[in-house]
Amino acid sequence: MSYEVLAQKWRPRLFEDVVGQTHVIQTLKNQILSDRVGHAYLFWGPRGTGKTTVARILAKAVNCPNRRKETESQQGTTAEPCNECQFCVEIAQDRSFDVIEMDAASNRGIDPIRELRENVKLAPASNLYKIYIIDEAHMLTQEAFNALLKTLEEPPPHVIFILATTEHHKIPKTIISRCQDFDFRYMEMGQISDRLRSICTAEDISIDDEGLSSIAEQSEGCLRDAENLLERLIASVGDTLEAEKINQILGFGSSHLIHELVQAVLECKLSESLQSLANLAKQGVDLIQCLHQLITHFRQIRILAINKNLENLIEGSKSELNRMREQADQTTTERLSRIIKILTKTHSEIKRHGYAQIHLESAVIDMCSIQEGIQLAEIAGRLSEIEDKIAVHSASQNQTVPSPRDINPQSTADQSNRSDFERPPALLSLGEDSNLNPQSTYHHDTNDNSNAAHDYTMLGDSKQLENVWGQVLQSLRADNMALFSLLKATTLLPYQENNGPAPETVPILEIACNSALASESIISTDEKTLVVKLLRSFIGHPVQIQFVASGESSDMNSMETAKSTHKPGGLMFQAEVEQDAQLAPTLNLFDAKILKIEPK
Amino acid sequence: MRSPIIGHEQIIEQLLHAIESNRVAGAYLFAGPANVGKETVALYFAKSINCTALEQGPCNSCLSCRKIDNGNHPDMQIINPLGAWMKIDQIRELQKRIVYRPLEGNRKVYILNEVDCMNLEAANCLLKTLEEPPAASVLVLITSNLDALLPTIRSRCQIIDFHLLTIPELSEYLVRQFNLEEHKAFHIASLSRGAVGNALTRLREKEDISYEEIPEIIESSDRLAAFRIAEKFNRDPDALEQLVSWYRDLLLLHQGAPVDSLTHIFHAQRLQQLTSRYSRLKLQTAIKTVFETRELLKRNVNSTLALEVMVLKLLPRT
Repeated sequence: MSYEVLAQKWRPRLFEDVVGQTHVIQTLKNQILSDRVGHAYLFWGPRGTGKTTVARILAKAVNCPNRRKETESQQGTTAEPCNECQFCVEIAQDRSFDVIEMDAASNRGIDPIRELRENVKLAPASNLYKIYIIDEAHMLTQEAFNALLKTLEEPPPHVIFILATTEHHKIPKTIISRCQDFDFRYMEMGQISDRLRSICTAEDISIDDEGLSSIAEQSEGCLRDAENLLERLIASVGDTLEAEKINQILGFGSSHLIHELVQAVLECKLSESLQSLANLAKQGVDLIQCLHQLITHFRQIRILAINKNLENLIEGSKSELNRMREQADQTTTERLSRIIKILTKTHSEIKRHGYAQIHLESAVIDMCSIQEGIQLAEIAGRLSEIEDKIAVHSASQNQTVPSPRDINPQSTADQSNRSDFERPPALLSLGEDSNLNPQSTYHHDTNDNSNAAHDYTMLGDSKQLENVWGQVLQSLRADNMALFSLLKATTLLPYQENNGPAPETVPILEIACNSALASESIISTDEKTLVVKLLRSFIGHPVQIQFVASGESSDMNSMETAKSTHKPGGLMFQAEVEQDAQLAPTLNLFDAKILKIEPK
Repeated sequence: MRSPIIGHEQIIEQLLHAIESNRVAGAYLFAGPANVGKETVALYFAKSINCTALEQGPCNSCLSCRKIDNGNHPDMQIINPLGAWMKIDQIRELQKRIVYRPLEGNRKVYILNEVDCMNLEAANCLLKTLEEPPAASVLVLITSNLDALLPTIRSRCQIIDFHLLTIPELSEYLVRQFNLEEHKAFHIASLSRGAVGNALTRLREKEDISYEEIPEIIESSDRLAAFRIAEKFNRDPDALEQLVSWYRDLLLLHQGAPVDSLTHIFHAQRLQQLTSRYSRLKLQTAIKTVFETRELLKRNVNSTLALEVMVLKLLPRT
């Protein structure tokens, strides 16, 4: 008899031997005991978690005459097949007429399904049930699935279908709804090492706990992977497995070297880190494997750095935990997060480009050069400081220009340091209004107050102001959409010079808006600063702004402005309407009053 | 007899041990970089399984060994992808044949090359066979891209990882085997990045391998030279592969790493001088840029243009 690999040899033959999946096993057992076995099952889950195994046990259990006899006599105590009777043995050896295991990936077309439909009608040869195990069911074609639908919905009473797949999403909804859906889950590390330990005991192989846990870790929760790894280790090493040998064959860096590297990185000792990386490479370990180890290690330290009491999330021995706790004390969560980010990025780069060593070295250099404690918020704060300084600087540059009359618009734009703005159409002069409401005036910067040299008698042309305001709004649209939508209905009012204040103050521009916007602090100081900055970049010298409700403004030059900006029903507006030549007689005639005015 | 295979001692030991202790599994998956010797080891394994006078490796003289060497052993078959893909029909053909007993040898051996080229249907089709292969058969799957395989395939095989040889290991072998001068051997070894197959191809194709020089791109700062350099890279894609290692050396030197960790030890002094022209970030960006360009060249881009852009990016600004 030729050799059988461990995964096959130790394929469970009883429900109770199946590792994990208690939610599936318990349900199936109960169904068998209460004689409520369904007619179609769908088993799905990751590879190596027991789908085919459970399907085979189920096939044996429902058919095993010994089990049935026992159940009848003992009032239903066992759901396990006997594995001894003729039927169980036949099924185990895959020569039973009534348990048909179909490889759907090789027979994926409609023809095998048609054949199956023909055979389904026939009664089982010797057993109670005829069981079809359709493995890798996701590979059936659309036609094949559809051909199966009617049979699956109402199969003859003696038939049970078991579909097994790793890819649940490829199974049509119509199939899923006709089956009892059982999901198989990844197993826990502990369960896998327990299982491996019992196999090793039975096979007379000695292995230590550390070795078991590294196999379990490597298997990612899939028992068959773990068993195959064990198989390979036994084949290459022999009957005595030690953690060191295991790590070597699996390509793990010895935990000692990994620890050394981590320590050097945490202490930002670059040359030592590079040295220990070189040592790892010299040992011939798989650098990608090594990268995984590093990521896991840093993750564990990060967990400890967040909270010392989260030990239960970490797998590892006591001494290792203590070491990690020390390392967690040396650093911050922030830095660890960035280290992990660098490592994961390195992983994807190695996958794309190869050259693991070069990428890892680069990562080590990066990790060592991350300084402690520079928080993102701090960087942002520093940046905005610099921005402010630049703004002040450009403002003072503007002030040194001898005569604003002669300012070339191009140079103004350059000085304002905002190359992405269109250059202002012309230099504008600004008038001033005395009806200020001091509370809502915003002073941009005290430095800007020395603008005495500026001459604001230049054109207070409403056309040009409109133009400027339009451009400001356009720039806002890109920077701050919310502010743009608040301001888009407003107008920059022409500036009146004759009411001008003392010459050393900065001119105040009024922005006409509805009263809510003017009175409440909807627009924050920051946003006002932004508007002021933009205005200055287009006008060429510092200004202040003030929001005024449209009805209160003293400036009412044209009906057009009034229509577009003034709130209907404002006092001024009503007075005008009342004096309207056509409306007045009508009002008189009916002795009427104006209640509401709506713009056209 | 000692194995004629360079490196992979551990793997060979594992496989032979499995044969001796009668623990040969039904399905193996050899994974590792291209041209590193996977198929050679697979053939060696096939010979060892069927050799009639096995003693620490196949005898190479018995009928079975000679038949495998000549590729006419009835129980051994190598399956290569048909065109770009390995197709489901090839797998079905295999499944039909694998159920029969071996004609002459102990076990039937099927070697499937480049299994990452299997399309989805073929891969799934193979699953059941892989899980429970007929007793007297061994499937050896070979891939250089383990991640491209279905996890369900991986889980059913014993995965054997092949690694690149270290540069000194390979160059030592080259010196021993081909009587090369030491620095030449070292150069070839580092050019082939430790893959034996690459090194042998290089030896066969280019008899005269000149002494390596520092790439012009690192030394020059004349931006007009960029186009000439790009043209050179265009003619000799290997130089691009090689370029990364130079930047790596610079980076290491820049960070004060010991000299013996360098690839180009012979130029350590000159490189040390050159480091002053670069910053750490610049070197790291340079490495990234080379990789990205390499990636681009694999796609359908104008290679001259891509290389010119790369060189312009890499040249130190004066």
